[in-house]
Parts: sequence; structure tokens; C-alpha cells
Amino acid sequence: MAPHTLPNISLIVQREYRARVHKRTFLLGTLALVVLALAGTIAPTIIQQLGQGDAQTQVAVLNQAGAVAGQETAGLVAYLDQSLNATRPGGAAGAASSTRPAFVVTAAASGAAVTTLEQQVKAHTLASLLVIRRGADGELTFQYTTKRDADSASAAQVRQTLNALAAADRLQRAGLSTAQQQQAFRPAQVTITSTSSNTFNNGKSDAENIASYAITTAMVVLMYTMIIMYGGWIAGGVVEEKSSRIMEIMINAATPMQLMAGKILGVGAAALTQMGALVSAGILGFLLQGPINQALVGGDGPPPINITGSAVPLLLFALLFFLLGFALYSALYAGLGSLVSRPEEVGQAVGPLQLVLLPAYLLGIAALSAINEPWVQALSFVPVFTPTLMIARIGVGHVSAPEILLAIGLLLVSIGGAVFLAARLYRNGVLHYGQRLGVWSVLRGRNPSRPTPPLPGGGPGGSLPQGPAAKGL
Amino acid sequence: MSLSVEHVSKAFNGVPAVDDVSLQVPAGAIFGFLGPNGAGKTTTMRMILNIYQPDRGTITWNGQPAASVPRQAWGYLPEERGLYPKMRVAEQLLFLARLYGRPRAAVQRDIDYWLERLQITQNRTKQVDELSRGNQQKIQFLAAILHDPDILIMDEPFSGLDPVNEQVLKEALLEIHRRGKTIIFSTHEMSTVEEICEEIAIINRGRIVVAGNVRQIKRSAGRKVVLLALDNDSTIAWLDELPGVTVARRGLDYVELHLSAPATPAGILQAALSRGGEVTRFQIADPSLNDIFIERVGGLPAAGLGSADAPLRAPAPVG
Repeated sequence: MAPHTLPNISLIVQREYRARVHKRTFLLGTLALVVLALAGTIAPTIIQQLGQGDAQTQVAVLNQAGAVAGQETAGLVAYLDQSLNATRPGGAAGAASSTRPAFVVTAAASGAAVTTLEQQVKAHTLASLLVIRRGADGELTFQYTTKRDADSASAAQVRQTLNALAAADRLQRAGLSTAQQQQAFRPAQVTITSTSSNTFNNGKSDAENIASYAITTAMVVLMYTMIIMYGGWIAGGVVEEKSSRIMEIMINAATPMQLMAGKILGVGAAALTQMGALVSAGILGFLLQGPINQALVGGDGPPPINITGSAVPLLLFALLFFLLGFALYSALYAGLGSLVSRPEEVGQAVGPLQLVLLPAYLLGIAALSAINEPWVQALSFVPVFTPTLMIARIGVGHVSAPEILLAIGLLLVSIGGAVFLAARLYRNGVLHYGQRLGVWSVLRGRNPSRPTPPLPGGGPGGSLPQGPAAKGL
Repeated sequence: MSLSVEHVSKAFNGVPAVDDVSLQVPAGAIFGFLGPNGAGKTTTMRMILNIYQPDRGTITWNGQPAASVPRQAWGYLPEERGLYPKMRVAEQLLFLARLYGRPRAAVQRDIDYWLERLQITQNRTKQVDELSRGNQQKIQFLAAILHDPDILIMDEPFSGLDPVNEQVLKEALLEIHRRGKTIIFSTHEMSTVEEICEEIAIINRGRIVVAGNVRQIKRSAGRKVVLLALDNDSTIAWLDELPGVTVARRGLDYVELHLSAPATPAGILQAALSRGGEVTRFQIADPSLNDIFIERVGGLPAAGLGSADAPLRAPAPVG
């Protein structure tokens, strides 16, 4: 091993990390991402709650029909209040958790004129008015005046409740006692059996699968985003050294492998720092939804995602593949950066890598819905696809331990190969200032770690590197 | 004990940059490497440093192949800026020196000493790209020496420096020399070379035209510069007609002649006296390196290296 390799790598990692993190653009960028993450997770909650804030409907009841279903006005009002709130859409019958009921039913002042009350609704001093009359044939008629749309959800609820009320009234006039009415309205015996099997067919509960699905999707998206954003940092750093004479100084001070490893780890650490802040902010925002809900409207937040037992190993594996995937792509970016010597050309050089990265991302997402297909299993061992596909397989599919170990092994080998290749390209790239070159011609340059034995005089030299006559001889 | 470059050649894409170059640099010497732009100086230096490998020939340091000498023994000051522009001065110098394995405390002390010595202590926390060119060059110099190399190779270290900074750098260089280090530098500054170099080589179009000890070079080219002044004749027109005589300079104080065969200094004196001139000044001087340079470099035929028509001559056997 080259002299003091580990200390050198450590020094280089620190330098690369500080060079990225101590910039003002880094701090501002991280701050922006954190704010976005918080806003992104909290905003929907706030918007939702604000939207429901005035969902409370006040209903004034003017009863001109005398006793309805055997109830006087007071009892009638209580009944209406209870049954309107019980039929809240999506809520279980009798859900009383909300301290803010959707409907508040009161009796209008007796003797008040209908027209006056209707004016009040128009003038928005009264939310809605329910006038109950009894026709000559004994049938009840209901007039519901509201400031809302005639076909809004609350109006539909009112209609539903009044239908039941009218039916109860008919039964009562037909002579049924209260007890008999209750019997008539008792819910039927219904048993529901599902024959559809678990879509994922992996022996885990639905709740676990949903959690896994969410985590996996998040990881795949995060990994793709991170590689896109930070791969450029690595390639850019390499080109910066090549476009000045820094590289010549550096390859005297450290070996190309040390330089590559240090660069990948250092920039990776900076990337992780920014991503870590982003993810923490997202999680924080997510956790804050409950308390914010409480504070604003006194309601519960959405049900928290249950981190059950099987999700923790998933998270750990996801993290592992995440890091390995980042390492592999970083090495490839570094290698591509070594092929050019001017910062303007970096974009062109790393273009081919996008052609590999995008499919990896898309396949990862696609695999989540087709987890048992044979192509998922086969492709999950291809190192560039392993991170996304393996995360998907572990999350919602079947994977055996040997398979995981094999995939990790292949990934580690390819990372080593990529770093070695990148170091070689970096070292030989010194010879080729001023031109963007194909990978093969640069690789054909001699390996400098072995001192070159002198060639006997005569004949052209061995493998001449392609390239223009060096400028500034 | 020396750095020995023997019959080294290198071509890029078929175009020769260095052709059969041989140099000897004694350990502890200050060696000046001269030549026009594009002559092959930088390429040669890079081969010594193992940044490039020669196509033919060998480079050894104390008998050992230069490529296998530990990297820590080499210090390099490149022609263009070789520093991270956004890194702070002290931080960067510390980083580079520690990569060679030097302990932190020792490097810190040296940094303090040298920043003081080069009068740039106030810049220690500035980013490199915030410094003036002269100060950047000083930092570049420190980056080359802080790891205590045995051989220091500098590519045009004085270019673009004002006289004050040039002097500062020169003195720093001499201090390194006093510590017993071997120094090779390339430059166009003839006066500096004359001042501090013991050995030099002049390279042109990839080939060495002159190499060796400065005094010997001047002497072997010497006795060919004559300064002549006549009392009643400031132009001394008859000099132009003499064979082998080139008038280099006609001043009011004296005329400077460059002689080549068949002219000799004695012959000039005789000619002056025989024409009845009153000689007020007659001096045989060593030619300046500048003159030697121009003479040697300016005079090579066109079909040399770098010409697409001229075939490469048969390579000399390595020996």
C-alpha cells in the first residue's frame, strides 16, 4: 500500500468536505431545502384544516308542524343535531372525538316569520334555516334554506337525515310505538368477506406493506435526486484540478487512488449533510402535523405511519444500498470528469451517465408494482440497478439472505473497479490537456505506478498516448 | 551524487518535444535551464518528476531510477497556478505538507517562519485567489518546499514578478540552497542565471545546444568579445569590413565586437594600431549568457525538430 494511505485519505476527505460545506451557497441551499421540506409537509395539513374550519353549519329549525315523530320541538332539535353529526361522511357512526361538530342545530325563535328568517340567511346572519310544515295529508314537508350550494355535501347529509325523520314520523302516525320504530330502523346483519389475496403476496400485513412501499419510494426518489445533484460536484471538482496545475501537485503528494477515494467520501459526506438536513426537516414537519392540527382546529392529524418491526431492517438496508449506490455513481462521475480538462465540457462528459441513472430510477419505481416479475430479480444483480431494485425487493418482495449478500458483494466489487478506473483516468488524463477524449485512448496510457523500464533505442516508443502536441512545453 | 538525465526523448502524437536530451545536475547545485518558449523545458521537467514518462532514455537520482525515488523527495513549482483557489493559505500549505507525512506541529512552525520571511504573514487566512500574483507565487514556492524535498524543480518561478518580489524569491531560493538542496529552475532572466547558477543547459527545439558549468561555457565562447574605443573615431567604420567581425554595439563610450574565425583579439588590436588610431580602451570580455543564448538559439537551421517535413533522425544508442 502506498505510504500513509489512510491518513492521506482522511486529510483529503476533510479538505473536500470543508471546501463544499464552508461556502455560502451551501448554507443558503441547505436552508432553502429545509424550508421547502417543512413547508411541503406542513402546508397540506394547514390548507386542509383551514378549508374545514368553517365547515360548521348552524341550522335554525322553525317547527310549524307541531309534534314530529312524537317529539316536541326541543326533542326534535336534539334528535336532528345528533343524527346530522352522526352521519358525517367517512366517520364512524357516533364518532364524538371531534370537539367541533359539523352541525349545530338550534330552534328558531317561535313565532318568527319565515320571510324574516329567510332574509337573515340571505344576509349571512343566519347560516341555514330548516322550516318544517305538515301538509293537509299529514305528510311532512321540509324547506332547507342555506347559504351553501344546493348540492353540497352538507345539504346531502341534511336530506338523508330528513328522509329518516319523515319515515319515523310516518311510522309514528301509523301507530307504531317508539320501541317498534327503533326495531324498524335497526341496522341489518351484514357480513363482508374479501376473496382478493394480499397484492404483494409476501406474507406481510397490509399495514407493513404500505409502510414499506412508502419508505421504498422515498428512498428511491431521494437516491436519484441526490445523485443528480451531487454527481456534478464530484465531476466539477475533478475538472477544477485538471484545468489548473493542481493535479500535478496532487499526484506528487498523494496517489490517484487516495485522491479518488478521498474526493468521493468527502463530497459524499457533504451531500449527506445537506440531504440529512432535508430529510430531518421532512420528518420533523411530518411529526408536527398532529400538534399543528390540534393547535389550529383541535382535530387529529392524519394517522401516523406505523414504524413496525419489519420496517426498521428495511430502513437500514435502504440506507446501506443508498450509500453504496451513491458511492458507485460518484466513482463513475469522477471518472467521466477526468476525461475533460475544461469546466465547460463537464456537462457533455457526464451526459452518458444520465442514460444509465434514469432507467435505474424508473425501474426501481416500476418494480414496486411488479415485484414478483422475473426481470426484477435478474436486474437486481446488475450493479448500476442494484440499489433501487434491491430496496424495492426487500421492501415489498421476497429476498433471501444469500441473494442480498451476493448483490452487496457485486456492488462492492464494482465500486472498487470504478474507483480504480477513475483513478487511472485521472492519472492518465494529466497527459491530455485541452481535449475531450474517449475512454479507451486514455486508458492505453501507461500505468505510472510501475516505473517504466527503458526501451532499447530504435523504433517508435510503445503505446503513445493520443492527444495534441502538448502546449507550453 | 547527482540527477542524471540520459538520452531522453519524448514525442506527443508523433511530434517530438524532447529529442535525445542529456543533463547532469550535481547534488546541491543550482541548475539553470534555459530555452525559448516551446523548447521542451517543461516537458523535460515533467519527465524528471514522473508526471510524463520518457519514450526513450533514463532519468536517475543517485543511481536510482527517478520514478522510484519517494515522492516526498521532490518539490515542484509549476508554470501555472497549482493551488486550490478557494482554500485559505495556511490551511492549504498545512494540507499539502501533511499529505507527505510531516507532523502537524513541525509544519505549523515552518509555515509561521516562512510566511514571516517572505513578508506575507498578514495573508495567512486569505483565500489564495485573493492574493496578488507575486504573493501567490510565494505561496506556490512554499507549497513546493514545506515537505523538505531534496530536489526542487521550478518552472519559470520569476515570471511576472516585480523586482522586489523577484528578489525576495531569489533569496528564499538561496536559503534552500544553503540547506544543501538541489535546485533546477527554468527562466528567461539571464541576469538571475548569471548571478546564482553554477550549471546551466540551453535547450532549443527539443535538443540541448549548450550544457555545463557557466564559467566554462563563457570561457569556451570567450575571448571573442572585444570592447574597443579610439580617441578620435567613435564609429570605427573599418571594423565592418574585417572578416569574422560583428559589431554588436556602437556606443559613444565604446564599440562592442563579437569575433569569430578568422578574427582574433590580437588581430583587432593590430588593425587598430596600424591604422594609426589612439586606443583608449581595449578589453577582452566574456560574452554574456544572453549573447550566447541568442547566438546558439537563433542560429539553428530551419529543418530542425518540429518540422513536419524533416524525418526523425535515427535514435542514438542508449549509453
